[in-house]
Order: sequence, then C-alpha cells, then structure tokens
Amino acid sequence: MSPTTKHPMDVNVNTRIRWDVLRHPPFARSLVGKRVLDVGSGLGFFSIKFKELGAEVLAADIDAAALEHIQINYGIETLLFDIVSQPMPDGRFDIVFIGEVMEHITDQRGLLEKIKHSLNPGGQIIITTPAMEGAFIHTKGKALGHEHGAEKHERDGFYKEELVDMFQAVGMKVSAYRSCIFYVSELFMQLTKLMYFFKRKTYNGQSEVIAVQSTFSYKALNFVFPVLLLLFRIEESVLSSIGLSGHCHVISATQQDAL
Amino acid sequence: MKKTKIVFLQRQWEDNLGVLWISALLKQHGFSCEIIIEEPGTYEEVAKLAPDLIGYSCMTGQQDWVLESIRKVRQAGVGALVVMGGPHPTFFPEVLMNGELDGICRGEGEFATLELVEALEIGAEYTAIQNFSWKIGGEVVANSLRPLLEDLDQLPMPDRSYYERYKFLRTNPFKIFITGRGCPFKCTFCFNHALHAMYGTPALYVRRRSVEKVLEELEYVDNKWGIKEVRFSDDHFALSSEWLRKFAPLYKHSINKPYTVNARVDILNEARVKLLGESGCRLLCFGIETGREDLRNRTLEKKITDVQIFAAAQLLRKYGIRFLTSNIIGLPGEAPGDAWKTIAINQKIRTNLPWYSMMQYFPGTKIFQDAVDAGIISNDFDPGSIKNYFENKYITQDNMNELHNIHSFSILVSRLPLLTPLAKYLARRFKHNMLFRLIFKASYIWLTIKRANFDMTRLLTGYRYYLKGL
Repeated sequence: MSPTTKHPMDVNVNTRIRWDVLRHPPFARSLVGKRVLDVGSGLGFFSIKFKELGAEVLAADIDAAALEHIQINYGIETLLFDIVSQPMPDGRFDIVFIGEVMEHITDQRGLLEKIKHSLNPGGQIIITTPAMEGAFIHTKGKALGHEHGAEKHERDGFYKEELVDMFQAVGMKVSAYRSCIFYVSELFMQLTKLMYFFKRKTYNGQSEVIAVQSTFSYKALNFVFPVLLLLFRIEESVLSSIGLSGHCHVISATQQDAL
Repeated sequence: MKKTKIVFLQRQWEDNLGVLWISALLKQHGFSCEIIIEEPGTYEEVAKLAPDLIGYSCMTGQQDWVLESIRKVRQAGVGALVVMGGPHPTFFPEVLMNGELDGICRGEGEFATLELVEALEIGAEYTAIQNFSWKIGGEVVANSLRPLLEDLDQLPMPDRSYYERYKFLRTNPFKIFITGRGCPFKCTFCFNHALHAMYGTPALYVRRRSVEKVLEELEYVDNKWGIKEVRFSDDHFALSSEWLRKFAPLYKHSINKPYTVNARVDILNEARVKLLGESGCRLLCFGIETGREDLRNRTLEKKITDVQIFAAAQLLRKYGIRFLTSNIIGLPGEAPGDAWKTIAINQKIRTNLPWYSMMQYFPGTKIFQDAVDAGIISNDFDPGSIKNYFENKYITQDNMNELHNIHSFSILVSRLPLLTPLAKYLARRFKHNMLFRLIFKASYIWLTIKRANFDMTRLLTGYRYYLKGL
C-alpha cells in the first residue's frame, strides 16, 4: 500500500468531520517544523495529515499493528506507548493531539498535568472527545464496542465546562473550541458501527479496520461516501452556525504563562 | 403501663419519622401512645381516649391545619395539654401565641417529650423543661435548648405499630427511613443555618446511626410489612465514605431493594457513586436550584459549581442511577433569562426527573430576612400560604408574570428542548393563565408517573394518597 492509497479511516465520518474542524481556524496554525505528538493515533489518520502540513510527527498508541501499518505505509515515526502507565517520551512538543482518548481513562486531569510538562513554551494541547451534550450520546449504538477491552470507555463523554475546568486546573487557558458531529452524521456513524458489529462482534483497536477494507460493504461505502460527506458537511455548517451542540468537542489550550 | 396517655395527630398519610421516634421512646418507658391520622370521627375518638397530652409535628405551611385541629380537639371537650413540635415552631416560635396551643417544642423532641410525660405522670412541674416554651397567662415562658443527641443509636427503632391500623401505610410499597441527622451546609433558603446558630455549631451536629441499627430496622419492616422500595430521607446520604463503604455491601446482601437518596453533587465522586449504584440506588435527588452559578453560590450559598453538576450527572449515568433535580424559579433578582439558564442546565444534563418550584420564603431562613430587607416580599405575606410550591403571589419583584409562565413550561421544555423557542415566546407574550397552569399540571403528572417508573401499584398508591390528602 502506498501513501496515495485511501486511508482506512477515510470513510469514517467522525474522523473526517473532526479533521474538517481541525484544519480550519481557529485550530489551524502553521505546522511547518512543529513537533507534534499524536496520542492514541490508531491508524494515524491525523498523524498523516499533520505530516502533510509540514509537521514532524510522533504517532503513539498501544495498538502495535496499527503503528506498524502507518510506519510501513506512511513513514511516520511511531512509539508503542501507554499514556496512562508510561512516562512521557523524550523531548518536547509544540502540539500534543489527543483524539478520542480522554474518555478511555479515569484520571484526565493527571494526564493533562503529565502532558503539560512535555510541551515547549507556548505549546498547545488539542483534544477531541465525545460530548455529553449530543442528542444520541446515551444510545446503545454510541457505547457499542466500548464496553470492555482496550477500547473500553470509562465515561460516555464530557461536558464542555468540564474540559475548560480541567485545563484551568492544570494552568492552561482554552484558546479555541468547536462542537461538531451533529444529528445525521452521528446517526450514520452509529449505523456503520452496527454494520461492523453485525459481522465482527468485537473491536479492539483501529488496526482491525484494515481487514474490513476488502469487504463488499466497505467498498460500497467507499463508493457513496463522497456524496454523504457533502451532506454531512452541509449539516455541520448549518447547525454549528446556529450554535447547536454536537456529539464531539474539539478544544485546544495553551500554557497560560506563554500567553 | 403508666397512666399518662399521649396522642399524636397528623393529617399526612405518610410516616413522620420524628413522631415515630418519640412514640417509640415513650412506649419504651411504659407510656401509652397513639398516632392518629385525621379522618371523619377522629375527634370523637380522641375524646374517648381522653389523652393527657396531644402532640403535633408541624412544618411551615401546615400550621393552619394544626391550629384548626386544636380548635376541633377543644370543641370535642378534650382538655389535654396541646403541644406542637417540628420545624415550624423551632424557627417560628411566635406561633405559640396563636389559637389554643399550650406549648411548643423546639429542636429535637424525643427526650424533651419523655421528660414532659414523666412530669405529667407524677404531677410534677413541667414548665421549666428544656426545649419547651409555654403560654402561661398570656405570657411566654421560653426554656433553653438541651444539647443534641450525640448517639442516635440510643433511640429505639421508630414505632410503626400504627401500620396495623392504617392499611394504606402498611401496604405502601415504598417506605421512608432515615440514617442520620444534621446537615453541615448553610444554604440561605434552608433552615440549617438557623439551626447551626441555635446550637452554636456543635462538633457533633451531623450524626449517623450505625449501619447495623439501620439494617436492623429495614429488615424488621421488610419482614413484618414488606418493602418494595426504600426511600432514605437523609439530607445527604453519601456524606461519609466510610459509612457508605460499610453500608453498601451489607444492604445489598441483606435487603437488596431499590432505593432513593438525596445527595449533594460536590460529594459525589466515582467511588461513592459506584457504591450507591452497585448496592441498589436507583434514584438520586440533588439540588441545582438555579442555572446562574453566581446566584447559586452567593445568594443561596449553595457552594456548588456547574462543573460539579456536570461531573455528577455523568457519573450517575455511568452507574445506572436516574436523577431528580430540584430547581427554583423566581429567586431574588432573577430575570427571565436566568430562569431559562436553569432549564438549560437541566436540558444539558438530561435530567430524568426535573422538579421545579416557585421560590418560597420560609420565615427563619436567611434568604427570607434578606428578601424582607430588600422589600421583595409583599407586606401581606402569610407563612400559612406556603402550601403550594408552584405559585407565589407574595413576591413583588419584576417579571413575576413571565417567571410564573416559565415555571409552567419548565418540566415540559426540560425534556423537550426543541420547544424552548416557542415556550420563550409564549412566556414573554402572555399573562399567566389557566392553559399554562394546565400544561404544568400535565407535565407534573408525567413526572410523577415517571418517578414511579410506570409501576401501577405505586401509581395507584400515590393516587390514593393524593385523594386522602385532599
């Protein structure tokens, strides 16, 4: 597989919409030469995007197969790393990206404290998490695949105020916030999960998605996804402009002393 | 059996644990004690019993009924000494000057009443007994307060023997228990700060019964009359981690019935919520009061942040505990936008059972005095009017019409947020009217049905209670 081949997460609506948010202001900054740590990188969708924008990326995850996949196919530096039990990797980072990880751990504030110390002056932490405000956050489909094992959710999600409070508690100031993934896209996301679990029953990490790429359903989804994505993007722009709350928080914070 | 006879009269068809405890203590000391709920023929029955002492436990709002009941007692030719205890005389001792009341008991009534009854038994002087105030020859003789009970385990098990007489209470599937007394917090809308002031904030203000005693009572009641659901009426059930750690597994093992508790969100950490959830807690009630954090923490002195509310809501969902929130509309200085914030926070945490009242000013609370000073309460305010928590015609601040309207829509829009813009328009545009009141009543009935978890036995019991209370 070459870097030009479609990434397995290209047809994941959650990933695509979050990237739409991250790549635009107020989150997007010049990444050229910036050192980025992608915590819980999975198959490295965001690591690859950061690298494409000129960043020097370290993708860290507990899923060895996923790391091997992105190292071989995309030439990204990887680290088999458990953020909860292991010390932070050597060196300092300009950006630490933590995508859909916070809900898997119990001591979120401790984690932020730990990460803060590995930031360069003026460094930034960007988090995406499920939002408790979302209309379908408590559905069975949302929890599917996250009941146990490595993908177990310690909590359904967060309220925006909790995240702001956590950052403030570790001496960081929230610099940007967006709510995303609204009704249609969330329902579609849950539908694709149901389809996945209809056949596979378990889910222990993004590396398992690689095996699905050859199935008929995945190919069919791949075929129609551009049209669906257009629909999801229209929903995002309309509903976020009227201030509704979606199923995902995207929030970034900077060290206060650096402001 | 000693000769002094005591009768407690009440109107409500539910356990009044204070009275049950006094009754148990008096019986333990050999006195005859009856708890009678007002029904047709009650006063003739009281006359036949010819008691030496008649007692009432009274919350603010019930005093008119108590005074009316005393008048009927006297009309029936009963010459017994009549006393009133409970929160209302404790914080509003002026009630003694009303009607034909002989005395009031302030603070804890068990050992004060026992001392009174023992004095009556031997015909001794009783007017100097601590906690009691007496009306003698038009003058009030007020005695000092005795110290609070340090060890609640020295009290016998509450006397529920009147269940044998009242089938309604006996067959009630959900029964009320209490595991402790005293609240360490000083919210301005509550009596606790006044109680702290009365007792000088003693070190042992918050007291807890031993786990063994609580379980013994639960097992006794369950074996004798049956329990379908337990309702713990403590102010803060989860206050002590140590107590909860001991209680939870033992309760699960020996009682194993769903239960309801009250708690503050700032003490609900994961360990406590887990213990509650795993031991059978199915509903937890907590106060949000208002969505405006500064109003909640400065005016009400609740000392709870929005973030603590969000964190608690998340934890309760995680451990499968439904939650009921209590909220107040019409707080001093509250604008309609603030009331909508209260609804918004309930929408955000998806409160299972959002309960809203209109602000009620209880005499004796700090907020009552502040409101009087600020001229928010009209001059014709009558404490006896606090019977309906859903209206308050004595608040004179601006926007009360709109605030009453918002209250009418509060439960509905808390559960159906999409209706908020329409409700905002209607609340702003129209006078408070019968249709809006009807909307509130319908949504309140829905809340009651949901609280009963669509259990027909509980619903019918509740309906019978409602009819009896009319």
